[in-house]
Amino acid sequence: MANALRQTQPTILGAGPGHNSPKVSLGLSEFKRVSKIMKIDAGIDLPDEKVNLVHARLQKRLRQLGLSSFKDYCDLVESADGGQERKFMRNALTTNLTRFFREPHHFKHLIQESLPPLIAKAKSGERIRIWSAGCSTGEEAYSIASVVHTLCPEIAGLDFKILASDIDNNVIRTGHLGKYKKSEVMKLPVKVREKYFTACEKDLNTLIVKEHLRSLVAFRHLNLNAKHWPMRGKFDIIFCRNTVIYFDEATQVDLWMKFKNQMQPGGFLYIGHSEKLSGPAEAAFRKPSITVYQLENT
Amino acid sequence: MSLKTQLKVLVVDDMATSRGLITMALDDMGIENHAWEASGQDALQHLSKNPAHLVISDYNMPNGTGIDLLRAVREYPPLAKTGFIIVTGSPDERILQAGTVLGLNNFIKKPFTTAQLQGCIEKVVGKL
Repeated sequence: MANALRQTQPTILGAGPGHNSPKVSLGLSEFKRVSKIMKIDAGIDLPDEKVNLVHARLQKRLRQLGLSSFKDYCDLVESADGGQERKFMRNALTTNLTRFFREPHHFKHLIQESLPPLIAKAKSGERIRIWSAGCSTGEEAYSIASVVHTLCPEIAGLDFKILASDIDNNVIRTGHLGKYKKSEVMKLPVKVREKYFTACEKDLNTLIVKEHLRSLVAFRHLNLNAKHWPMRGKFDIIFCRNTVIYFDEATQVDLWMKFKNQMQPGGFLYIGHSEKLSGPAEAAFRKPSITVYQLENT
Repeated sequence: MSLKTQLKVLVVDDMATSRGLITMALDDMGIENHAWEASGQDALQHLSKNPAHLVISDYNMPNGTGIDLLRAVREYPPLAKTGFIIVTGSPDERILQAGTVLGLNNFIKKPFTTAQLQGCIEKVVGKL
């Protein structure tokens, strides 16, 4: 009976737009192997109805690797040498998972540790900047903005800004408009919804981020891999989660260094659950929490 | 067992006449399991003891609107997923916007026919 009531059921992974019909089939036993790994590595539950999504996301990878079955792929991922591919799989299955408040422990750290001193500084007139690098459609940036606004309702009148950047102009546009599917927004607590969202007059399935929150975030196109970044100022907090992983090892080392050079001493860098600082930048940070790095003050 | 004999509905309206119109329409549809309260506060107490699948609430009531009741229902985790329909004489944009943000499932404009109310309910709970 309870099922008779139609409710917006949260989904872990939003199925992407129309995928072509399968060439290599994904059997239940292989799907179970994949979902077990996802549970262990990323803490994500993949219920059986996600079989098509997993298939759609991984079949291209199978072709790239020249594998003819998911069994071969699972064997590879589970093998001792499969670590890199395992990481790739995890990301292929979590990309575009741009939920609000993704990885809640980061937001907890933000609220308890990194933001309070910065807000105190902002109140005393200092300039505070946060960067959501690889922001996709903006959920992360708005999640940060809502947390900041909750801690400091007068933030709009202070020298505070969140930069949200991505290489993809389409996602930048979505983020700038601040329009999100109702089903996504409904996963947020009632108080957050009422405070920061308003219904779209023309489309009751879309909710819009309220202007007072949108004004805190500037969406800009930026290629992380560009030789020089256009920003002159340094950031107090950088979120760059599940983006760097797509670059090769040398570029990653390079990027961590560029992030370090773009940060204020004592600033915080939040990275993805399967990422890790590498190269010479690493020594400049301490690691107060899992996937949270703080630039040393010296 | 059919949905209509299983479905538990709570009607909330301060006006006996309009309350009667809704409960009579429910009877006509064959929905047997319904109860009523005359205010949002009473409705909340009622629901906390006897949860319903669906609340049909008037918007305009003296002690707290239908939107206030919706908010309270959504904020209370055991009731948060209750289906919610608001009945209003004038469905203005602000009510609908507030309702949408709070997860209002549907609304119906007064006056309505039994068939219209049934259609409105079916959009929330499925075919009766």
